[in-house]
Amino acid sequence: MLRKISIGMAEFKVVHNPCVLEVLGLGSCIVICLYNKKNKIAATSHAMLPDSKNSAPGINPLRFVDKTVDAMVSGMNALGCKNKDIKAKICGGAEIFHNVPKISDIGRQNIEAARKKLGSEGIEIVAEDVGGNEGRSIWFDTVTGEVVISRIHKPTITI
Amino acid sequence: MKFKKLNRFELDALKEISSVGAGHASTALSVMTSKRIEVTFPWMKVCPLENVTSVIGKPEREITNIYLHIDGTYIDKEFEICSLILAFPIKSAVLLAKLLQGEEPGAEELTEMDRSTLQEIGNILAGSYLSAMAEYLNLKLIESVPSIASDMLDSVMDPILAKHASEVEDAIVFNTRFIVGGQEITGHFVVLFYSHMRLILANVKYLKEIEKCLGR
Repeated sequence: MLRKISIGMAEFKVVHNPCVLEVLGLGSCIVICLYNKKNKIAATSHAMLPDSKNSAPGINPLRFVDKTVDAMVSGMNALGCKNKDIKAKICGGAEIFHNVPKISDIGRQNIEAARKKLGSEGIEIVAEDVGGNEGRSIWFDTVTGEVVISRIHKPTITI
Repeated sequence: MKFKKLNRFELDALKEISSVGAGHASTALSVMTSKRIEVTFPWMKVCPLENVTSVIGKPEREITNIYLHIDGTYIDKEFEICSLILAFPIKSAVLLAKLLQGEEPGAEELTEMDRSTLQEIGNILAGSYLSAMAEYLNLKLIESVPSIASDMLDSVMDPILAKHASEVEDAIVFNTRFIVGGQEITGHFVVLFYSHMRLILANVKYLKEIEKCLGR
């Protein structure tokens, strides 16, 4: 049984030792799992909004997709990973509330921001479980790179 | 807006608004259902946005969330004032809906009728809170239609928290207790203010001080 580490909103972790990175109750937020099998280094982030550009001063930058990816990538680079060797899996970005202005669209924007940011970093997305209108919990095995996803009242899936 | 640095005046103002709001809500719900219903806020907690869900419960607990958005007019200008969230564990949500409809509780899932009953409770609670706030701050407030969703706690909270994440550092969580016919139902009421609200509060403080100086 691998050690489990929970990643809350606006948190990220870069790990070297084998473990399971866990995010419970994911809604419109987006979880980006990065791993490099060769060096056995992995990272996961849990961002709330796409872009830090319009944020007020003093706001935690890790709430935003762009900054969390920067933080994870520089952490992995520092441990000797090159961007071209890093694979990504992304999950989340659900539309939990329907037809609510400024809320329903956040999930979709997060998905697009994650794809764009990872693209610009030259990191390939190898699997996705995004969108829909249900919450998810995810468990990312940093050894195999597998991500197990569960929803309420539904069987789990693995990507 | 750093709520950690809320001064005594602001904290007192928010507490006064909520206790008046709870009183209004008790009356309104009792009149609507012709039952004795009491709404209280036993405790209040100020915490960073990211920690709101951990104050309420376990991340995967199934929750029903009622959400409203509030705009206001102050000195002829329109502002986004706050978001209000009323969250119940799904069993409590079903129980509350059934009690208010005068039906036997027992079911595990919400019917269409339960959902609209809960939206109405959200409306009344928010409306009561808002009328207290409007009185205190001398504001005109307009509430949106309540939206409702059920899923894991963190999943139903994060879209709303995310909406505020680029400008609000902290949130206020009220433990909320409904007492209906001797039965107690506990949920949480979350208030997320925009930074304008802080300025309006500061303004009210000056006005009150001026009134005091003038001996009114």
